[in-house]
Amino acid sequence: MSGKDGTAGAERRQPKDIDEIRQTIERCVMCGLCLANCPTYKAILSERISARGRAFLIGKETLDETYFHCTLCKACDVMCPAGVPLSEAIRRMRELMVERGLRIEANERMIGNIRKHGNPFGETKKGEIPKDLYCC
Amino acid sequence: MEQDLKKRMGRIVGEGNVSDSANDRLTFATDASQIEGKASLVVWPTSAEQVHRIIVYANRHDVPLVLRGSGTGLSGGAVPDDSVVVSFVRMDRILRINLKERWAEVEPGVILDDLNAVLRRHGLYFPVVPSSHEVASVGGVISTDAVGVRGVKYGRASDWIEELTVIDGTGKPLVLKKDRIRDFAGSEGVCGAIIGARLRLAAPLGRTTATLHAFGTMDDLIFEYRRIMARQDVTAVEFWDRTTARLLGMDERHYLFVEFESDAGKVKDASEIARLWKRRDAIAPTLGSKGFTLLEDPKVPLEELPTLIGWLSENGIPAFGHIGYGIVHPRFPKEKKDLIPKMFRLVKEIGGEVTGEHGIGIYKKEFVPEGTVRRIRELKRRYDPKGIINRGKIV
Ligand SMILES: Cc1cc2nc3c(=O)[nH]c(=O)nc-3n(C[C@H](O)[C@H](O)[C@H](O)COP(=O)(O)OP(=O)(O)OC[C@H]3O[C@@H](n4cnc5c(N)ncnc54)[C@H](O)[C@@H]3O)c2cc1C
Ligand code: SF4
Ligand code: SF4
Repeated sequence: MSGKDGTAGAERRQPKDIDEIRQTIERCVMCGLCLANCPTYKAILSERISARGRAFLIGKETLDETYFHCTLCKACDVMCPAGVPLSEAIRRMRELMVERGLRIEANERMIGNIRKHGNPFGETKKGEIPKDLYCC
Repeated sequence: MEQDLKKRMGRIVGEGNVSDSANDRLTFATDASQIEGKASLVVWPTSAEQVHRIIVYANRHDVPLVLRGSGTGLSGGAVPDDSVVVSFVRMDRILRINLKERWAEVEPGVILDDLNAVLRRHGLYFPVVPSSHEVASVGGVISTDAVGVRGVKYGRASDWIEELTVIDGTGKPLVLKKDRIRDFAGSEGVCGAIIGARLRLAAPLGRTTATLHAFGTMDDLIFEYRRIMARQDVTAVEFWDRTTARLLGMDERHYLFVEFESDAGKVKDASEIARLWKRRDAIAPTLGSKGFTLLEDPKVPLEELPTLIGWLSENGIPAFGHIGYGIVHPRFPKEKKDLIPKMFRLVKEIGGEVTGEHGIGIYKKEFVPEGTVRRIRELKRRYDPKGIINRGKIV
């Protein structure tokens, strides 16, 4: 996948399945309180790479690689006063993207490395720190 | 043109601090007001110098800018109108703390709770804490002249500013003191960007205790409130009405939550007090999640509070707020939106104001008092005559 938000070439709206996921977070009021503990927001300081941003994009039924950046730590679920089960919705968005063949490059590399080298980091020599670190 | 603009902004802020990606623009096109606008580009300056260059460029080329902190504003103040969003969240340094004179110099993107976590280590405290303190930025708090939940003791943001460093709408850097601070504090970013603030600090609260009272009538609640306010040790007084209580799953009564900086409250255990605060802070979003999504903030004289609450109850609208400041937060469901202008009319009839703390933004433009319109127009003429910054806001 190419493009800044990783959706270039992807079908942007997938109403049927996404609509189901969207309904699970309908209670989100965009208050932003979940930004407080979201580790990806704290690191990047961008709405798109944040809990609230992900909720908004799901609300708009939009695919984006941000769902893969999420650590699924559930801090947003804990923080949310409205009880929005956001991390589960994000996990389902990921699933849906994978089903549609919309994995991000990091996933591809990690999966390739596991297949080839038995670990997600690629070829590693003893005592050497891996050059690429992937998680999730 | 947009590509060109991105390139030019990139030259100012660095490539990693500008984005025209569709989904960045989408997520920056709204805020906690849930009003949706259109962002043409997002830039994250990381220094005062960069903000200066952005505004100078915008002036020269007539590029509209909208200024944004954490986007927790409830009136759409940070919602772009086909403008470039200038996000201050990457300008988040605490520059200096003077322990002896009790002040701190900060950049606008510092988050209130982060600031207070650092200050606590030095035995100091910035006391204006709105319920959004975990997320709200200093720039946003100043621009909206926010009232914290401890407003009865500490007042508003503008009461705690010694000096503001700003870049006005023409690109001119200014250092504002005394009366001129209020030109920017409370004018919701329409004059220009706050790029630094010297904040006065307080000693941290001593040990606090709290009491949660429940009443059958608003008159009884007000009676108790007046009695409590005769004391010197009250740090916060919040209320929520019976409709709110019902929706929160509590007994259907009117509640008064009082925090004391003494042993006077019934609840003494710190974690229990923190739990009560968490419950108070959660009221707005919890009501929102039950369909009461439209949050208002009229300010009414205390003796008229029962009139307003009575009217709201009759219409099934829950309300809560900072009673010590006369600020009420009714929450309306979308399908009862038509009641809002009726409420504003009632608020005016009983001698109140349509907004006590959330500001006017886009949302309350049609209800702005004539005096405010004149004042904002005058400020605009002085600081942003071309209307580059936060266009379409307030006036
Ligand atoms: C759950 C919840 C509870 C809240 N509780 C309270 C409360 O108790 N009291 C209260 O007063 N408010 C409250 N608010 C409203 C809001 O949190 C405050 O207005 C807060 O101060 C906004 O800060 P922000 O960083 O999110 O600003 P934003 O929403 O990003 O911006 C607010 C305004 O400030 C302007 N602005 C932002 N940064 C700058 C800058 N550097 N220079 C110039 N202009 C700038 C923007 O253009 C906009 O007009 C609450 C909101 C929520 C969601
Ligand atoms: S997910 Fe919850 S905390 Fe986050 S913006 Fe939505 S309502 Fe607020
Ligand atoms: S689960 Fe994902 S969205 Fe939620 S707080 Fe963690 S990283 Fe952020």
